[in-house]
Amino acid sequence: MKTPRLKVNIERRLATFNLSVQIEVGAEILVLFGPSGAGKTQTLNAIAGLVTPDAGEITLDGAIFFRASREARADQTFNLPARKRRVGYVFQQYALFPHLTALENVSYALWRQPHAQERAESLLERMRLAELSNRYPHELSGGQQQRVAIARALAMEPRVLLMDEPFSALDSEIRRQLHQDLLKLQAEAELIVIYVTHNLEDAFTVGHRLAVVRNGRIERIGEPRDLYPHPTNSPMMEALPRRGSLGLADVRSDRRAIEGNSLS
Amino acid sequence: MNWSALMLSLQVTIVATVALFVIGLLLGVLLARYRLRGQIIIETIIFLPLVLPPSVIGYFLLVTLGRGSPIVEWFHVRLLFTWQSAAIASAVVGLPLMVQSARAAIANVDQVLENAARTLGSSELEILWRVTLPLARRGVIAGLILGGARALGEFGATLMVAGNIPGQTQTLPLAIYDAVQARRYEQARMMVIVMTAVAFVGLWCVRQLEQPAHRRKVDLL
Repeated sequence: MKTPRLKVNIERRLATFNLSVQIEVGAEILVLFGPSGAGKTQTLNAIAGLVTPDAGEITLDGAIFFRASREARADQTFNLPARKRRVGYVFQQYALFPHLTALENVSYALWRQPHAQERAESLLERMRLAELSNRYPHELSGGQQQRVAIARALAMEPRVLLMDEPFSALDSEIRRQLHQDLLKLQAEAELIVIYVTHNLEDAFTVGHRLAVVRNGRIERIGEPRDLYPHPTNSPMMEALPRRGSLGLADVRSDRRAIEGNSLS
Repeated sequence: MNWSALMLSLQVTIVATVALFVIGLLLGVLLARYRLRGQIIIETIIFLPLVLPPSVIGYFLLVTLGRGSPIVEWFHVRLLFTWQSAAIASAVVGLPLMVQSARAAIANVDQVLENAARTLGSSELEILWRVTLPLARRGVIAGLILGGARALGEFGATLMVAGNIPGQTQTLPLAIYDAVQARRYEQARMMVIVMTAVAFVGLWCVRQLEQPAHRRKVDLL
């Protein structure tokens, strides 16, 4: 592991479980892997400043994003607003501004800055989107939209890039391409990347390190080869969807649908 | 045609609509995005003018704007029987329509987009201006037209707080009433046509704004 720069140690009470996450990330891609509802997105949101943990500490290179002890009163809590954290965030459903073109989306954060247009254009070029810069999000394919979203998150030159299931809606060919792009980007800019996924293939393709998240806790953390699913490696196995039972349920509901139709 | 009444109505409506935009938008954002203490009470009060008789609204406004009320004492202004009080009465009756439409439109804007703007360094005001409002613009404009049209048609409360002084506080609806009372039907008819045309165009615009982009075409006429 590279020298840790982003340190996260947070607790947050949620409806179904208590989130309690401790991670240290350097200039690398850390994959948070686990079933949906395990607290992965909550962790990202806390780092970005979109939700406030109940207690703990988040620091980047020693600079405090958040700090509160469990007994602290509200006025003793330090909480840097999201807009001041300069953390890039790529959302699951792209979250591009539908009323702005690709170029305007990318230059959104550069508002009032000199050479915003040129910088946004060069970012789009790097993501191989130069010809599409005047298109609106609904005129772009899923993969193109996601590349715009990455360019937009990188526009303000963040040190940390958070990605929430970034490529889950895309087909595997495009996904492989985007994984390549991401690995290159991360190495070039020495970015701290936290990549959330419930997809095993994604996790093993892009992760320098993997953390298995379940019920709001990190169950295991390590390099991919140490965590490869194996019968003796229970946390990883349990985090996987149970294919057998899922498949059977699908067949049953399909059959019910067919029978229902034939009756009517 | 009673031109002074028409001009006065325009003046009153424009001022009322500007007030509707600022106050209605603020309330729309607050009600759509924040959980307020006493939210239901606030909403109920805002929506009261929709169901109260105009005379009751007029009565409340008389108390609020009349002699001895805090507003008059603090600012040393005389509001009763001025065109400004007609504008206030018009804004009050238009407000529920504006708030309802603006709130629904703002609540419809995906909060993930606002969160994205937050991570991109935007302040809350900047998000409102650059993300929420542009995306909610159809509903906000529709609310503004509805509220403005309602303000233009205000009669009862205006009569009570602004009176019916020709050339000073006599708006179109009041002038129509006067003309009919005096059996000047020709004059009344012109003003009725103007009012109806404005209302029709306004509502037509609102329907256009509320149409989804893709719809099935059925010819009714």
